[in-house]
Amino acid sequence: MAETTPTADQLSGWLKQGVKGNEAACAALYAYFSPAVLRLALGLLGDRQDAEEVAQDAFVYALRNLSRYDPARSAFSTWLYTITLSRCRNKRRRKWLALLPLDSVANDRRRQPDRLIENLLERRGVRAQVWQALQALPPRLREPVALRYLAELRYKEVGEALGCNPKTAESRARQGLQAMRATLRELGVEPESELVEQWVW
Amino acid sequence: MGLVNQHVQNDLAAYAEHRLDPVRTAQVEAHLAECRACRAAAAETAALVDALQATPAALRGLGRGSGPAWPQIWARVAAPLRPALPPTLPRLSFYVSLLAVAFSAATLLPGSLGGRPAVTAGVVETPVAASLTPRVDVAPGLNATAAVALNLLATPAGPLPAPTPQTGP
Repeated sequence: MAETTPTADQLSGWLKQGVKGNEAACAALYAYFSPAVLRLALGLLGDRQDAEEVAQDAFVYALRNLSRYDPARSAFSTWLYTITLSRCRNKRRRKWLALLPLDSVANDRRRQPDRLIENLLERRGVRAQVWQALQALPPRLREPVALRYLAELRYKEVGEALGCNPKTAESRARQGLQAMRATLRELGVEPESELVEQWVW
Repeated sequence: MGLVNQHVQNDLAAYAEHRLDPVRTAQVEAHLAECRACRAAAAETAALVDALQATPAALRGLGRGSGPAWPQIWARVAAPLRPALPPTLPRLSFYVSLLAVAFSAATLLPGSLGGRPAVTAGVVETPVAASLTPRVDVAPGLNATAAVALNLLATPAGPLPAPTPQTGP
């Protein structure tokens, strides 16, 4: 699937055709946006299976409701990430409710980090502790950090997705980074150490 | 210069991402040259921002091992676009309307309610309805027009009895 950035005209064409139910246009939207949607869901949920499920649901909803997207209000990516964010919140809420009756041992087992993601990051030079520190953030701080760094949005778009102004979004992301630094220190990462290697792959 | 003495913790992420304007960048760098705590925090923040910025590329390809998702997604997207019923069959609303008409007809037939035990009528009494005798008690929920119709149907053939004059005390 192609990940090359589409031109504004291409994107607009996909959206127009997508509204008419053109499968090729919808497939092009999916091909371009799905990696970022999945990354965002992964960052917010921390579990690959949940993230894939949410990403699929978000796309199904978005493509069914393409006619409701208003280009005058936000970029398509922001609209799509807002849907993803909402789905992730619902998923987290449902999982939390499902865990309530279980004992603490079961809770601990369900909260095990997804080792596959950490292993993949380690193999590609990013310390696993960075992911652990992200997952340790409360949702209020994890959301702006994930939108900013995993979905690679500007703070204006982060604010739109979160329903706040860009300054507030930036402030929350900054708090998130400070909390992550504290977690990294707790995890024994030396403050001076590099958290990402120069890549050779 | 007073600004040099102000800590710059709030600008460290923007500084690490090179988002500060040149004037603010110079102020931050002047402070970092003097402040050991902020310098350490700046190095930590820069390392974290670098790692986070590298994460999207490091996660590339994740999710593709689980099979082609697009056909499944498209099947779900396209599902409601197909007509729910074959075009030759009437819609559900037709059957609902038919049922409603049949129910109304059955309710208004004289024999359908005549044998029922009297029920306190939930109708609005009107002068016309009040003057008709004999009077049929009707089911709750029927409106005044239906009550009049039922009373007319239940009235035996022949002239209507004269209304009882109202006498005062």
